[in-house]
Amino acid sequence: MSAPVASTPVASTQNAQPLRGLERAFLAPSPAARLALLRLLVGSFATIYLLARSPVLADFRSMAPSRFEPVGLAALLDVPLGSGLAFAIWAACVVLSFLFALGARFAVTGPLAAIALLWVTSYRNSWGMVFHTDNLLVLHMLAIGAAPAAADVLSVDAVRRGVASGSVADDARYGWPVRLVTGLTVIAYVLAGIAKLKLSGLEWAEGEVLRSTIAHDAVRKAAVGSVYSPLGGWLVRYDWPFPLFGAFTFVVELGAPLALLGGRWALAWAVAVLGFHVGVLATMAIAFPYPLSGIALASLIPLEKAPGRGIAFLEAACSRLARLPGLR
Amino acid sequence: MTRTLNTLRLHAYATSALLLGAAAYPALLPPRQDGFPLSTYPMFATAKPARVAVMSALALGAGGFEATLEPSYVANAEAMQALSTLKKSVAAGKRSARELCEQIAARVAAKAEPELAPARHVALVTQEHDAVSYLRGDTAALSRKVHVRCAVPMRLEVKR
Repeated sequence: MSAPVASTPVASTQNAQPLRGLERAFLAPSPAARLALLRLLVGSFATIYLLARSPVLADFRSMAPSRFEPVGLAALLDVPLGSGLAFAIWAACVVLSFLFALGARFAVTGPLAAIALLWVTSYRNSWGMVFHTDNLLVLHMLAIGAAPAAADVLSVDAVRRGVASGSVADDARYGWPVRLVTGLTVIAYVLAGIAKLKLSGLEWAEGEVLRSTIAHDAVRKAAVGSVYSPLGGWLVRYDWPFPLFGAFTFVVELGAPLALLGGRWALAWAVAVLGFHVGVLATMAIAFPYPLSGIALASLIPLEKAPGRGIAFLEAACSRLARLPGLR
Repeated sequence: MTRTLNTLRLHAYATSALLLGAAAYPALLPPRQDGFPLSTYPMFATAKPARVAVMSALALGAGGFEATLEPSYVANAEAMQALSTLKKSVAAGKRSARELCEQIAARVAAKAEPELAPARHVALVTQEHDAVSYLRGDTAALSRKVHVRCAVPMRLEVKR
């Protein structure tokens, strides 16, 4: 752990020019446990997601090389990787994400795990279809992976240094990465709202676009022998629900900056986002696992206020894991 | 202390400016210009026509046997990936469509699922449906265009 920066220098700039207000908010001292718990949650999600989605993230044997249209980091490639190498990178990414979650050698594994995940998801999206389920997870991993202080407590690294979570004072270095994660979340939802405004205008909120999208999506899925939502299929017979859904979607997406106000505003927005994704799942059978898990919204919640027993359990688990040969 | 604080500021501002700037950058792009991980998130943003033209891969056999092949026969388990693969293969021309058709037919033979035992051919087709009627149960296609048709290789054995 690098030397802690006391909150005083940043907080003491209260009499400086107005621009300093933004700096005070951005670099306000925060509890180390909040950032550490965010690292643990996001890293654990990435590990489980990589394993659960291995059929589409690790196995490309059925994809014809002619279908390869690289995006993201995979744009560095002219031709697809051999299937063995693609699998090996995925396997390395699983291990790195697990170490990210544990906060083991985090100064190295943090950025590496984020870049590995960016690679694996870029490669997965490079076969003619760009999905939108992985974007936020990748951006959050990059933000946390770039903050070495994320493993200052509740981590294997902290156990190795003999640092307990209660012994570390609130500090500026624990706050900005959490606010960065929130900022990235807000931007993603606002962009989705802006795309609707640019392509369909305010008319989108009247619901007909959404209705046609749900019907279109269900028919396409049914026609290729895939699962579609019976609820969506039933709802599109009626007009009345869709103006409500349309307006709600706009409120969630364009109202995302309200989350930056923190407190109850942030919590209310997080609940609305969860409701929005549950609605998308129910009517279109499209799962956005990261927001649906709630972890994409965890930066909006004071995680450090989790029951003390939970924190003690995590510290004990880190202590046990730190004794494992590979992590010592 | 001041030096540490300046380092912290530099790290925080540089990282945040880079990531926030990159994430927000697609707002300046045409809305349909999608990418990864930086996206304009254009999904669900435009109205779809009432008549839906859907591509699919069908298994065909004697006596009018016809079955829609699941996405895993086309690309992988994801329906959208399968649709995209079908669309792009057909759009790329006859040769590309035939290649995909033959790959699918080979998978039908290799998997040897009993319910596809009567399959003798695979066809890549575009069928038009009225979306709402289809979801009400009227699944008959308004029109059908066969892009390519190919034979399922002879199977050595059928799974029981």
